[in-house]
Amino acid sequence: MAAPAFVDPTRGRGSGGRATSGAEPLAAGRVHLPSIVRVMRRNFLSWRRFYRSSLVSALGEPLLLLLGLGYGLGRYVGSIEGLPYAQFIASGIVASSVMNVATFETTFSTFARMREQKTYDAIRATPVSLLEIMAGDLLWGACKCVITASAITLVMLVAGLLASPLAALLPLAGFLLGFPFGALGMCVSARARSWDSFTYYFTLGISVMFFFSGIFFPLASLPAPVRAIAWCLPLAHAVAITRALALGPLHGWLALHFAVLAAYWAVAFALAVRWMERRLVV
Amino acid sequence: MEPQPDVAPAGDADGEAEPRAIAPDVVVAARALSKEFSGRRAVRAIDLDVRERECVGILGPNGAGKTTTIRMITCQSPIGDGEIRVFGIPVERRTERAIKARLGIVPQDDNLDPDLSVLTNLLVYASYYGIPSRVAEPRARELLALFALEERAGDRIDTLSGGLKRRLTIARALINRPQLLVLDEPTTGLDPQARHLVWEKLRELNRTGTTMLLTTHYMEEAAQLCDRVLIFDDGRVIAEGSPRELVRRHAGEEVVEVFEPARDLAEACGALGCRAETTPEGVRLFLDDARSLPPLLERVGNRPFLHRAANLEDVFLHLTKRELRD
Repeated sequence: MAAPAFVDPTRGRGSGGRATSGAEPLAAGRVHLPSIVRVMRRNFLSWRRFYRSSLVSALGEPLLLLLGLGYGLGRYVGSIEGLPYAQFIASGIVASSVMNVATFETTFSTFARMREQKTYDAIRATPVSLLEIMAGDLLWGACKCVITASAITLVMLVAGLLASPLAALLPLAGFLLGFPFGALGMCVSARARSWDSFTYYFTLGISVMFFFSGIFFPLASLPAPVRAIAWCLPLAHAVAITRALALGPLHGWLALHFAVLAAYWAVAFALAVRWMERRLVV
Repeated sequence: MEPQPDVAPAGDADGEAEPRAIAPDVVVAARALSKEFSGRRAVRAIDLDVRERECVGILGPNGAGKTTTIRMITCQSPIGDGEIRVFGIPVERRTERAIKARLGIVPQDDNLDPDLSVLTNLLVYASYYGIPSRVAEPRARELLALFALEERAGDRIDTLSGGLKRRLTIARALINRPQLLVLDEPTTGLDPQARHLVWEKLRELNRTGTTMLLTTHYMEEAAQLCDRVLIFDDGRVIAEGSPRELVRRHAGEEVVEVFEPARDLAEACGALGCRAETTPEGVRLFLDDARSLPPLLERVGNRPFLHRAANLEDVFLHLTKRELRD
């Protein structure tokens, strides 16, 4: 190491050539897969301590919905599109439960790790990069979605609400559907100023999607302009997928639904990483 | 009396001075390091070296740029301007992973993982470095023993006192056997016993070969631990040297503090071979030579006074001109 060559005279000093925001394109930091797995393992170890309460909330709500609305309200509704009401909504609740689990993981849990506990800072001091931490959180959220999707599928099986052998793929679908919703939640976490910030997302995003994505009534019953808006929301596509797997039949539109969700995932995750870097790498 | 900067203004924004040469055993070398935060210049053209086995302290008031500097050195914050080499590797985004693998970082706020037990904190942290668990487990137990935390191995983090958390944070920073340990205010917020225990452990680590870079605003901490101290003020290095050198150069040998207005003493100072600084209570007199003490004390007469050895705090207050900062 030649000492005098340390300061390169050709490099303009004081010109501010280097960006201070540190927000380089994603590709710049090569992704190290084992690091992502290590972050997931950390989340798993921490989850192991609270898994009971975590399972209660992840399963309790869908089961209550199914009992209260599916069977309670269902007695008055009768059938929708030729299906018993419980069957109709159960096939959609798989999707909304996955949405909730993935969203909780990347909003409240991620925000707590990022801000309150400073776990992100602690991990960033090691060779694990911010992108890898976020990917680990997202993947972990998707794994939790598998548990929820499997449990609801099992309940539907026992209750005789499944009509297609492809329902066996619902846990896998839960895993995949966890990505777009998890990534959207991460965008919110990256921009959130405080816990209150999440209220907006939950009320204006999650709740709106929950009621207007075809879980409780077919989208076809909405007026055309509203229906067009509903089809822009990711949950509508997720419901279409879980319903097709639970009840059949498969149709070509599924590819489109997956494509929309993949686009949501890709754009949301890229934005989340960018915003998180802007926030933490200063 | 104007404080004389001890360091050449080598890195002034448009300075033409030759950059400092880098010694072969250097672990950290920063040259003309600068950083702005939305227009505020937090770090201004700093040169900093840390050699192998050295303990270097960055001393300065809050907002002097200490944390910003070490965050840039530890690849946690992008460099504004200037350059840093750590282990001879230039700090850049693509070298971050390689550098971080060899660093141990103790942040200002404890960020232990509250969801994991004491031992699991170490094991999970080891996994981030890719240390296999058969290596990590004995090493973690060894560190717990070193920091007298064995009894607490299975406990939750929120049951630990501030001192124990700090010790665990330092233990965690050693899990990858780092070649450089960087500590940001290692004892801020600790009670005196806990602080002395941490100092003892850090001295032991330094003695057994760990290179250290730490920030502090405790003069005593710097005097106790550091071979070399850089005094930061307003983003610049305003003095650099061993604690002893700095005291001798900027505060002299002895200090006599008089706790009553004593204008006459301040005025007679030149003749008595000392330097005076007025304080809210009276006057503080700095002597370069103990021989001028008897005539001085005679002049002090029966006014209440305190005679003591000069220390880093005198240097610090003198150099930063006792401005009140947040």
